[in-house]
Amino acid sequence: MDKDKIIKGSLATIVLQLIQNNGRMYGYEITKAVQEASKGKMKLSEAALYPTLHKLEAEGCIETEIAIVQGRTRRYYKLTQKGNQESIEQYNKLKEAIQSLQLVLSFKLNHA
Amino acid sequence: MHKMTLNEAQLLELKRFIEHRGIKELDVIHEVLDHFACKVEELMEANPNLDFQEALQKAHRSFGQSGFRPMIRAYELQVEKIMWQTFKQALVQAISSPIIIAAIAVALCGHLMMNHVPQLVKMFIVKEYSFYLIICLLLIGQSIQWYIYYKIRKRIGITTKLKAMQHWQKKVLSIPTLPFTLIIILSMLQHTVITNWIIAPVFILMLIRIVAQYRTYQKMEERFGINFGL
Repeated sequence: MDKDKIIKGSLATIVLQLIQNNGRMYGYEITKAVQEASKGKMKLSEAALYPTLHKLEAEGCIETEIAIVQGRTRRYYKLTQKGNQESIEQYNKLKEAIQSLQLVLSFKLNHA
Repeated sequence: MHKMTLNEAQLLELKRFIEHRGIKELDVIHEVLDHFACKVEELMEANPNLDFQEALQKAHRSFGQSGFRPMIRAYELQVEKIMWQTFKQALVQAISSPIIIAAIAVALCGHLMMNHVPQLVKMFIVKEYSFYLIICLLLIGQSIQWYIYYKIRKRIGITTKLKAMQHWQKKVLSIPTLPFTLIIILSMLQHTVITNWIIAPVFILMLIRIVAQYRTYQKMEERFGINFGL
């Protein structure tokens, strides 16, 4: 199975967590952070990132801050109060899911 | 992150490149431009021999086969989602708004008066012509809405926000149309004329929707700076 497909379901959690860890981030920075943190093993495309960012913004989990950087308008994303709570909740759920998955993957029946 | 910075002329060229691909919404242009510029800068920094034009093409190819389209679509969906959320809130507010309460009060007074003054019954009792009158009124109402939409379209042009609004409006307009169509079909099947008791809720529903729709437009004007000219 494609690695990116597995990650797709956890994209919102990844984005929320990254923003929470870094205060505020812009789109390109998020894609680079994912790439760097995973040592190039994970790639976050624009087609996946921006729908997630806009969805989170519409849900009120993140808000934008506009800044002029190097002669161009940059849109920074930062967490709202709702986003902070959501980030913690989703992170815990993901951790639980990973632990359960590890148990399932190493499971052996007694008679096997 | 990267240290190489594009100059004003290069940024302008990138902006023209983006606009040339049909992006007219300023919010989307800014977001795409920053992301695009970051990619070009990174490529040029990684390979100092790389020409700006080559870096531009390479960066554009890295967006994939759909190019900037997913970023535009993401923005469209966001506007649509916010419009729906605003509309739902406005709908709840509209139910308790003074206009609706006044409309229900007037309808109730009319009903009580008709019950107590027999002469009035003769005047206002629903006859065949009143059925057509209601259809005409509803058609006029819908025509006014389409006229407003035409005016908005002329004023702001076909933009991403407008496309989102179009999707939203199609769904919103179906709210009174569905029960109304059902009533017409039912009355046609039974060869009877619809009564005030059936017409009244549809009218109230329509009124609630119009009030909520108007408030949504107002809020979208504030949020996204769309001038609906209301």
